[in-house]
Amino acid sequence: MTANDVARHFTEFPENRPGRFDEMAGAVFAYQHAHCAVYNRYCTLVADRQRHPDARYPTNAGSTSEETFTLRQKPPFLPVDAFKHVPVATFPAEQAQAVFESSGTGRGIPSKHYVYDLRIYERAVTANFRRIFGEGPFLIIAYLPEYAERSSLVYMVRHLIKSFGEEGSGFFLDDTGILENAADRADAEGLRLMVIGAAFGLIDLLDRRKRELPGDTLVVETGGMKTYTREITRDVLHNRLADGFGIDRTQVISEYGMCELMSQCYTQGGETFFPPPWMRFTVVDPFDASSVLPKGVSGALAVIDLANMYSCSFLLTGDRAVRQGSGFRLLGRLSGAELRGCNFLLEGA
Amino acid sequence: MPEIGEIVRAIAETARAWRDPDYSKREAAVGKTLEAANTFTREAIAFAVNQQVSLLGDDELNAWAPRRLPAEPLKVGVLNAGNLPFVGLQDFLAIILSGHRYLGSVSSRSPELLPAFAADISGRVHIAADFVDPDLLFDQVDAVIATGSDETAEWVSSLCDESGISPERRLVRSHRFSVAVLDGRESLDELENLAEDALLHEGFGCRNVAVVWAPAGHSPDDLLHAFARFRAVFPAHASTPGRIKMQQAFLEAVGAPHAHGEGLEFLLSKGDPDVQPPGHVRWSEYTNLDEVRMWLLHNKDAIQLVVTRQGMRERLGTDLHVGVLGESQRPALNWRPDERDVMTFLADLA
Repeated sequence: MTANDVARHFTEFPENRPGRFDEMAGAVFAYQHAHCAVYNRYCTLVADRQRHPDARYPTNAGSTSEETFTLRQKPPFLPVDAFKHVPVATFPAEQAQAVFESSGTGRGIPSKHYVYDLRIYERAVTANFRRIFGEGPFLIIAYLPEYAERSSLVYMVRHLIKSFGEEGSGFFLDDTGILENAADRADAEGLRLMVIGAAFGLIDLLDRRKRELPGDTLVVETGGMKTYTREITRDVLHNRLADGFGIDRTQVISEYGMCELMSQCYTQGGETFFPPPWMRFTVVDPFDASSVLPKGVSGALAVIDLANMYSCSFLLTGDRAVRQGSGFRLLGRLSGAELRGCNFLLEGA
Repeated sequence: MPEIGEIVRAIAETARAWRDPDYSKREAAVGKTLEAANTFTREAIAFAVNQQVSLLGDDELNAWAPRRLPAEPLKVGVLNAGNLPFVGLQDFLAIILSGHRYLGSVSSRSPELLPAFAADISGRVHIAADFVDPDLLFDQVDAVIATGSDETAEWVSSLCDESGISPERRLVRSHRFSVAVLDGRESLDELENLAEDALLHEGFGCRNVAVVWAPAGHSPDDLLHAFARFRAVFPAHASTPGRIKMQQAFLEAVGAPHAHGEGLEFLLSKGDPDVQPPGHVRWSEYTNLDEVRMWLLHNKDAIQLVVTRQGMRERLGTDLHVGVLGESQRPALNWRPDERDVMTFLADLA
């Protein structure tokens, strides 16, 4: 299998091909190792550190080492912060069709994801959405205040509207009348309403006024709870959204995505996120990403996203997670601050 | 129940005994602590014990202790984290001095020091202090003190709810870090003090300096030399290089400016003032102190302490607690973690 085969077929997982993911991941790894300069450097350096665990540094062994990884030896997960520092790409950055940028906070440098082929992103978005929500169509109303044009989320929602949206679907900012009109129209015409919004935005909206939506409305929150981490767990968030919009809690769905990932994960009525078949995840020791943690132990979320074909598929996110069945539960950000201080209370709990 | 004065005398006597590194009870507890699965070195444990017991003179304890005991003593549960050696001593002393009963749980990372010190005091005066598993603690106590992440706070809250412990009877502190602000005129001694602030306890403490602000263009070389000198006295724990080697590999791969000890005993990187994992210090430059002030304001809920040169204290104009370089690892007996006074919390329980 070649990288081109993966690019063409990464969303196809016939049931009679159980080893297909590994086959594709192997091809992707070989391709990215050869063509993504920063990933190549990182693999070489990590191989060197693992080969010589007690070596004193600095050495120049990393830069000259021929040793690297095969898929069987667990390719290293590149921290997503790399996207803030350098183009993580298998092609010259100037050839990108688009550049997705994270919002970046304060002095923070935004992450930049150089996208070689937008059709791959669109296929990942569409195929996964169809798996979860079916063919639609939906009257999609999106509320994404403070998200820039270059955000992957805005691009994704625009694409979903194009692919699955009824006429009249669109974004709204301050004019909440659009949401009310959509709700009335969905009621009158028997359309299925889908509200997509950043968590903090939807909560702010409801804090101003409760809005009764048609009973079969789906509310998809796309994260962005950083300012609410202390006060609102995902459980509470789902309850507040369900209560505020007058819908059943099972119709509140969370989406997990980021500018550095071409694929998304969705919850399915609970708090557990499930990746699409072309994405795998694992929970690893935040201090040593090569060490996989057992079920039930929280750690750093690492993913293999085949849709990241032309950047890097093997990524260590900055999120804390715990494995739950075939999915994972997010427990917030795993910042450097989180790893410091008196945080070890739960060891025996 | 003994008078406060008797408890003070017993604590002070115990502390005097523990000032001697060869004191058998201290020696035994230190030995067992070194055997536990933690990141403590012999030198760091000695520092933590010496620093804390040095504060426990009769006068200091009398000044800190409340004037009267509560009419109805309560049982106060404390979940002690194990990130530092001897962590939780202040809460323990505050509870027994304020006339309440102490029920603590200790981490497997530091299971010996606090119980051994408590037992030594118990041998001199009767105090109500016991240690149990954390799971058994909530059903037995009237109030809770804990420190930890959001996840910990959530866990503590739910167990308190189940056990009927009201929110006013919970003191839940968050994880924090400290910050240093340099003006570029620091002496070598001051930089060595900063090395202690940043590197002691392998960076795991909630008072460890995680971010160093420095004037734009100022070289970190002197600080790196100070780090190296500090490491000659306080060697890194064996696990430290392993913990930071992947971070160093990442910085090298992305070409981020950084420097490290020859054996990866410390790592310092230049960049945005983002807190890095323990053992990794971030060097961030400012062109104008307003940048620092704004950042401090924005992050005030996560910052335990700001350390700087004497002359910079007023210039910073922050509401945060500002100390001198070298103060981070030497808190006073009455310091207020997270700006919350444990004595006030205990007094309000009664």
